[in-house]
Amino acid sequence: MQRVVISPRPNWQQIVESQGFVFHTPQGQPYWDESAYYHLTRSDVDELEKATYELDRMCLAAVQHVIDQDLFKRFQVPPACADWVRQSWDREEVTIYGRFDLCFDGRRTPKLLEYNADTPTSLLEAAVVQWFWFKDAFPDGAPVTPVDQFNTIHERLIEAWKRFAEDSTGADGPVYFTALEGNIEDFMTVTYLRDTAMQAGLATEYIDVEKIGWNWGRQLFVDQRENPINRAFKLYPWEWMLREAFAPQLLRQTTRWLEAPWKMVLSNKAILPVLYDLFPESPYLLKASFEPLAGPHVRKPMLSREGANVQLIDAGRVTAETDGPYGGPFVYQELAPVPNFDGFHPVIGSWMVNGYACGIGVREDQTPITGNLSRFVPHVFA
Amino acid sequence: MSKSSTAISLVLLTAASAGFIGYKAVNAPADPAFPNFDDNSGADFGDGPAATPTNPSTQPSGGHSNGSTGYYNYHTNHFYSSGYSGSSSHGDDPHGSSSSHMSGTSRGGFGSTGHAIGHAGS
Repeated sequence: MQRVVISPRPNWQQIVESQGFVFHTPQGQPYWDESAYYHLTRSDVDELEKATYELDRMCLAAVQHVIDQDLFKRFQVPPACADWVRQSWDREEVTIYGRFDLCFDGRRTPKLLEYNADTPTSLLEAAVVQWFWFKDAFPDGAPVTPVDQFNTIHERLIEAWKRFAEDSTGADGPVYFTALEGNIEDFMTVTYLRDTAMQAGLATEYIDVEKIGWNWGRQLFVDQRENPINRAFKLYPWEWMLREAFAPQLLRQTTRWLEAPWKMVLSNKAILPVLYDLFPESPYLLKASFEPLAGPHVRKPMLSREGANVQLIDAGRVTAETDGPYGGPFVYQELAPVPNFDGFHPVIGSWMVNGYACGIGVREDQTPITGNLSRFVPHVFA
Repeated sequence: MSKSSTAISLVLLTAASAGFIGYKAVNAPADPAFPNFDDNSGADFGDGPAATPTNPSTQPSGGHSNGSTGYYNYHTNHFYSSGYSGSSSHGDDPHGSSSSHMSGTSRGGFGSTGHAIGHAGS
């Protein structure tokens, strides 16, 4: 695995905007960075693919364990919701996607940092934008032949929606896509997902999450025209929905939600110690605990996003930390050796879509903690 | 990887993005806002800001609704139907009001945490 410097396409802003990627420079800081790319080997990709499948297998076993052992309180899931989550799992409700964030440098075994199982973003850039960059930067495979990109995310998404259509045949009407009003990254991510659902033959609508209504007489969620919302993809995390005013209405189960309720178990960082307890010998897991560890470790809020409120701790001293709005409870994870490529620290986002490990995105930063503005850098393999 | 020539059509995506050229992203507020279900925070299931009735003409008369759609008390394991009960009493009926019905629609019951934090993706 190498980091290779390359000249950006002269008009790259116009190109990526034409692909729907209009949030490439948020707050004046570059987020999409095609002045470099990561060059992986085929064995690197094989290793990442193998690790992703194995992590997915372990995660599914961990969900079963959490349910069997009734660990919902540990996961901050209210008791009133436990049966709802359990039923979602027992019905084997389908999942569209998730992203494992892995520490990997091409030399050591990939290690799981966390699993974004509920509301992962950086999807459009991974599935579409880096693919078109690859076709421009390596036309006909030059200069290295054969060169390729680990990326069938788009195709797998369309397959996932077809599967969901079959799995939700009892629910009438369009699939609603909903996100927080006013956030362009979230809006374009759900718009991309909506695009793939439409390519799978589904009728779709968009509604801001704030505009979802609950009709008291009909006892169901409705859109602004009072049409029932029977199926909905939400780019809005379960842990927030369970703290908001419509939470009790969720338990009526009148809407089929994506990601499925059982995914809230995996999107919670409490899954990290559970995974380690279940699979301590796994080469893909870092030691993790609900208590501080003896050696260098990372403290992460159980429920947090985008690298916020993370602390790196060594010998009882905080060596690095990030700000954010989240508090405890926390989990503690062994500090992984941070890959370093000319001062850049990449994290591999490995996508699991419709049950397939189907591609990666690389985000890098010059600090050891990957955050909301860490840059997305494309990749190839050969 | 093989991709069919028609795989990435992105019609909707490009149409939507065209409306966002020049859009300035909303900056996330700095105030810590995210509650936890721990023993001390006081945060409870469904205990977010009140939903807003958008069709008040269809709300039942009477009662002193605070606009909330009800919440679950994590500590007592009870649902609280706080408002829209249709009764003439104050709305905090811990057992709900089975005799009351309303036909209106409340909105705004999702989104409050996201507005405080600013970005829902991960």
